[in-house]
Amino acid sequence: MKHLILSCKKATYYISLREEGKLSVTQRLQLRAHLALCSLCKLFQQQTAFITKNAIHTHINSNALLSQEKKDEMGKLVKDIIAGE
Amino acid sequence: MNTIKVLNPDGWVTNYADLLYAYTVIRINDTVAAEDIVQETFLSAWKARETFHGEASEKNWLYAICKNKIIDHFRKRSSGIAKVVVREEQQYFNDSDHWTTEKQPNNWSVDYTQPVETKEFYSVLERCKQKLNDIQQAVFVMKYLEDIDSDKICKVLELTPSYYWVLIHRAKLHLRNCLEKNWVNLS
Repeated sequence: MKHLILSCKKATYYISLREEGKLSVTQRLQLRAHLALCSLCKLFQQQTAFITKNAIHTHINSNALLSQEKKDEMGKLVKDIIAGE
Repeated sequence: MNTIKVLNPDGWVTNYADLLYAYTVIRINDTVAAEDIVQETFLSAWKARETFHGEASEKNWLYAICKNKIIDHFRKRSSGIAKVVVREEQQYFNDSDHWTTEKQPNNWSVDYTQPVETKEFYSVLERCKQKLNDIQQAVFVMKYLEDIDSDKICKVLELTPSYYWVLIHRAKLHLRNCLEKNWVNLS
């Protein structure tokens, strides 16, 4: 019975593998059982899913801008290349 | 009547340079390299202009070129990084591999299924991401911002799958802990 019980370290590791369907049937069952009983790993799973799902929108919320100087430089370069063809 | 999609290279810098730059800098965390990537994107796009047939919009076409350059950047960076497993995750788990009291997750009292509505989340996430080491950042960005599957990431970065999964595991442990400390108001 003992070998069926996952540690928290392993369970949290399995959570990422499960996202890509890379767990065996036994591993999946082990993980499901662990998450049903362990509220800490369940929180880890919910919170990391929350982070990764939101992370994809990072650039929309970014204020990073190029300097006008750099943009002018790029604009000139592109213009030159177009003119050169 | 179909609209014929054409390229407008004269407007590229004005229309897309800032967008591509914001997209890139958040991924590679290097302002100079990000400027280079944006510039290279325009130059490559010009060279490849005859391959543009209007299936995608001009904007998405430029993004696709830019994404490839970002992946190239990670590939180049990765080849110079030692891929050694350091036993650093011990701080999260005790000798019997259970959570330590200090680093165990606490409830954030947010609805985890709902999208984040505050910009603050993103600035904290960005600061937390910068604390990851280079290779952890690369795998996190490729997997969760670029949505590339693990097999391809391993190939591009020349990682063994087991090492890749250790990196993802650690990146998540660090990010979760960092966000809990800096973004969540646990009261």
